[in-house]
Amino acid sequence: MKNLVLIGFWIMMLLWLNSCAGTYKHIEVEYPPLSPYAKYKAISLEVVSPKDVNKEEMKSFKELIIRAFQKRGISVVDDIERPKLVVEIMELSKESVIKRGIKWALAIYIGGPWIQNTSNAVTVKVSMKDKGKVIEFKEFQEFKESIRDWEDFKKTVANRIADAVYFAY
Amino acid sequence: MKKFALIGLVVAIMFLAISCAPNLVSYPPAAINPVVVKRLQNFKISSQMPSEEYGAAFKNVIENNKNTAVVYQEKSFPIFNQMYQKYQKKDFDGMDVLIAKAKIVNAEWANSYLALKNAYEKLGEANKKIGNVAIKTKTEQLINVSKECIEEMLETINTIRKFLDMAEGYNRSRIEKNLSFLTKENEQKYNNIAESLHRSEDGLNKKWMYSLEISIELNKLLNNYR
Repeated sequence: MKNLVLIGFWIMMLLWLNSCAGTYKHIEVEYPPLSPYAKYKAISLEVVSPKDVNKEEMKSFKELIIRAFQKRGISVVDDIERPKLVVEIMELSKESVIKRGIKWALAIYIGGPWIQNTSNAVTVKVSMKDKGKVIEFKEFQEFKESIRDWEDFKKTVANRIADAVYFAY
Repeated sequence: MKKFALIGLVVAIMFLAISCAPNLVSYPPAAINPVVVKRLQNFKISSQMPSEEYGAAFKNVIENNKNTAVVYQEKSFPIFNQMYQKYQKKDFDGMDVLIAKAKIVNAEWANSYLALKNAYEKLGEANKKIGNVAIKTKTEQLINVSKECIEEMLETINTIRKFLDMAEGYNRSRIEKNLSFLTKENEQKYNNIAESLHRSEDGLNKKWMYSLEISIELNKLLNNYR
């Protein structure tokens, strides 16, 4: 009987913790038209990744980057004369169902904030090759993004990449 | 005994959750010095100009200065002030909307910055073609002083952008209950950005004031131009 009460208590705690977590309301930012004096109006894009990165995920990430540029009025073109943005993917991994299952099991059996952490990871190095010069956007190493919602995670990093170019002079 | 162990465990988890709370430092946003705004509003551009091209370029510089000040003072500052007030009260309702608004206005400010930068470049070109030495020298001084001011402006715009990305990260992790974002490195970075933004706003005010004083001196010289 005592064990049943104990189990009931833990389930209640977990449900309570889980129900507390909401979904972040992602607001699409409507950027003003690109200034006629902006540095980059059209760029070419190269996405480089290690072999073990999921090809589908990489494709969807690249599409998100292109869409983020379009929203800011910057065209992505296939032209070697244009400045080339190189996005080097260091890590692009979604938390697996197995990992999530293990976290839930640990939270139920020994307790602790296992499910309040995520191992989703998107780490990139971004640089621009323009007229023989390489400009590195060091801000992508400055702080580590971590988002529970995988699609939102990819979109946020894609938006940050497009922002870095939009605001570059 | 088991009961005590259980209570101990729950308390430990609660302490763990509390200790994860980041120690973020926020500063009140700085408005543009009201003297700068007032002087810009009351700026009466001289009707005497050494050339038509120079006159158009100088007018463009003053108009773009006014526009850049208005975008920050009337659009950005009220949003940042509201965000700061909310942080102080730990009222995070609607913070996602405020961050999105601040991002849009910051992009608008970046566009007005570019127009201002271009206006100074055009003034520099027009200045090369005039003959009056006193006006030429004063204009060169204005361009050099303003160069520092607009560099500081660009620094501020980019610091605001990074600050908003981090503020959004913390807001999202709070709503998602995601402890993975709450690292010591991120906390340190947030506090560094907030501090450099605070310093940058102060520096921008001083440089803008100096640039405006030189503009007024140049305008006086232009008024006496025959």
